[in-house]
Amino acid sequence: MTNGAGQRTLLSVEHLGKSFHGRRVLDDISFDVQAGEVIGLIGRSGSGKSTLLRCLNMLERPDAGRIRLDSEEIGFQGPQRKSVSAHALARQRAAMGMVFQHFNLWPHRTVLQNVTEGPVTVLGVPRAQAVARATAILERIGLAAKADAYPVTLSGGQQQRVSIARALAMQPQLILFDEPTSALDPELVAEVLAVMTDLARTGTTMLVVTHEMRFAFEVCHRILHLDQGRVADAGTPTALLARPADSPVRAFLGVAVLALEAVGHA
Amino acid sequence: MPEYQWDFDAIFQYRTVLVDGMLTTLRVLAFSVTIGVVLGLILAPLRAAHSRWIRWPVQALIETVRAVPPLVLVVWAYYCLPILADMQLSAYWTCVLALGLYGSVFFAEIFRSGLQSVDHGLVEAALAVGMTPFRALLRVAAPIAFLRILPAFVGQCVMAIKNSVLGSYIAVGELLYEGQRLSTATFRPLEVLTLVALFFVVTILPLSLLAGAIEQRIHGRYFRR
Repeated sequence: MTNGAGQRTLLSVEHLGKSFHGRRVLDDISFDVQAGEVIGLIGRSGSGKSTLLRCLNMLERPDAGRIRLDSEEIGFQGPQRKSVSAHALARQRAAMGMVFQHFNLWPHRTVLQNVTEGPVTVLGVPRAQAVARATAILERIGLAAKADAYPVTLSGGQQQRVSIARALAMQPQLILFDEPTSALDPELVAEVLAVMTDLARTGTTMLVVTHEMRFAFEVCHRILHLDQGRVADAGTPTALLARPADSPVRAFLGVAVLALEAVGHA
Repeated sequence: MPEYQWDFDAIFQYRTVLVDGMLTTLRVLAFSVTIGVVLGLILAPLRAAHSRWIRWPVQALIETVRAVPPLVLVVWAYYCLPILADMQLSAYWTCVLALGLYGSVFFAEIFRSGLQSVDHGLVEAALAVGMTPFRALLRVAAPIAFLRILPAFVGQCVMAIKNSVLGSYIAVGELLYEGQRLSTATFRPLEVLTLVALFFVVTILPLSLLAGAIEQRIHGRYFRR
């Protein structure tokens, strides 16, 4: 573990399992996330990365295992695994931000309204205060000028930055990123990764499902390699790059490993 | 018809008859559209329910009512409800209920298609910021669905206006019925009935134009064309 002593376990996942129509998508997944840690989730398409992320905030209901955020169990209660109430689940989800592959900005709300909607309607923050905070966040990500624009008028990269702002405005304990750059034109990927890198460097706890290996190995503190619904390997970028050439993670990375080593992590 | 002499004096003399007819038409509309929208709002989620024991009967009701010509529904209700349910309803209320029911199945289908057209990812985004499913419906799914269905909704209101004249068949004193009475009494069908037709043109045309303008605006502003 790279984390020094004195760090606090924020999220803990134990023996998580999920099947779709009899097909095992997640199989006995366990890991911890420390506060301030940035975790990369990598693996082939269909390896269960996105399902894992969506189970963490109960957009998918896991069949087995438990998830705890700040030692509170998410989604279930008691020994019979009874579902928590809709209100309790909503409160738990509010503590976890989520950024989607397809942005999912609300088309009938302006950029500013997309960012203030959660704080105002869910947290009960006074509107003026929510607007001030949202404006500050939009300035940080360089979109203050677009506050009154509707999402449809923005580029994909801008929309994804707004959706990051929407997550940040809730002041969540951690943010889940579900392939945040996969739906973007190549020239728009960098601006989104720049915002995410900025967040990572300022202590935001992040779980990032990504195919951007350079981001994963440069920015993430720790990487989980998922294969067929299991954690095939986990470790720091340096440790993973040092695995033998016939290890699963090296097989997955393939020739990309040369480029990553050139970045200077080996 | 070259030597026809237009004469609106007779109409002017009996104008209160026509005004009463118009008011009755508007009241039939107000009630039947309200019933249609409220019933439609109830039917729409049932029609989309997970349980087929709810979904199928609702679907059967919707398909049945849709398959009956509205005039048949009005006449059937007028003659058959008193026998079936031992209800003594006036022609006026029979007409309101029948047209309300007829409209409701169309409103239900419009509402359902609107809700189903909302990208589920938008609802997931609402859940992810901590909205309960009900709040996500109110704040995200319903408003977006409403914007999507507005043109179809106005279109259905136009149909409701047109259907309101069916009450004349069971002697509801709405505009067409009063107009027909007046035209036989004064032997002035051309003036009276043209006026009746014009009433519908000036009521419906602005609505249709409005619907078009709204559609343009909504699409330019919120959705990709």
